[in-house]
Amino acid sequence: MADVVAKLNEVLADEWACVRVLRRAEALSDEPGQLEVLKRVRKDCSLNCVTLANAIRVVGGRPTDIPSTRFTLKLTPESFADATDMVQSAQRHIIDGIGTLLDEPALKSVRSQLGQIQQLHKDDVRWLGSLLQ
Amino acid sequence: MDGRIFKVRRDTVINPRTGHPHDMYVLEQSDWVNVIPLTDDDQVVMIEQWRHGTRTVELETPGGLMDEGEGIEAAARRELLEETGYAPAKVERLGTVFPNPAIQHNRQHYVLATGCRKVAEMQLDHAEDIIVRLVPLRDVAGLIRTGKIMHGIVIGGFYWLDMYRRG
Repeated sequence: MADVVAKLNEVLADEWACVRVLRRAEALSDEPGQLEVLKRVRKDCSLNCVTLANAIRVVGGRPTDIPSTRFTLKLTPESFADATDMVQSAQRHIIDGIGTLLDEPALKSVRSQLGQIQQLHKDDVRWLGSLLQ
Repeated sequence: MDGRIFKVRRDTVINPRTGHPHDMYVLEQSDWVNVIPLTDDDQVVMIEQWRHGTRTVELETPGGLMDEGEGIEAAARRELLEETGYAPAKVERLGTVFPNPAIQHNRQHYVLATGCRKVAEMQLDHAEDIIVRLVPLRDVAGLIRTGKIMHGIVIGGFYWLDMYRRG
């Protein structure tokens, strides 16, 4: 079980990173339409953090509140496209990470929540991608 | 340009057909070693790490730059221990390739490490952020096919392992 909790916490750390980098992207945007999309996606990611934290508690673990280093690396200077690209990279990694966990027998009780998080990210990747076109 | 990992060399060459000079660029760096570490139950000790070039996290086998004067097997053991905390019972050379002869002059050596066991904690440098993953060897082909393993040098290593096992 400890192995599964560790993997869920890695996903949660990447999810916290999404929230942090989305805030950076918001600070780099002055276009109201873009800002609205970023805020909506950040809200989704924040909700995912809560859902994941609850799932970790359900399986007996302790959720992390520290964003992953890998997806919070910041380019200097950082452009709006750089920050948004980083969020997309993290989201794709989360989608894959959850994909490897869905069939874990130990996570049967939280499978539907994980599936919802994965679907939310799939939708948001497309949505965020439209900002970069 | 002269960095920690490589130097960029500019050569000016003259085309014998046209007589015109043009510049060619070469990335100069030491040889690389890449290890395929197997446990006794045929799991590959792989690592997941951030790659800045593609800005993605990649699933890879351990490896890195060889130190000056360092042997291939010694470099393989060192990289494996530093990046994963695992040590092998035995190492064997699998093969050598040019990673990108268009712009690089160095070589990539592949080493098979068998009987790997966890013996220490990872010793990462300041720029490394690595997660160790044990991946069944039988799953590797599927991971390549579905794009979960995208690093060309890593895929080359598994090809050498496949040839080695087929004799």
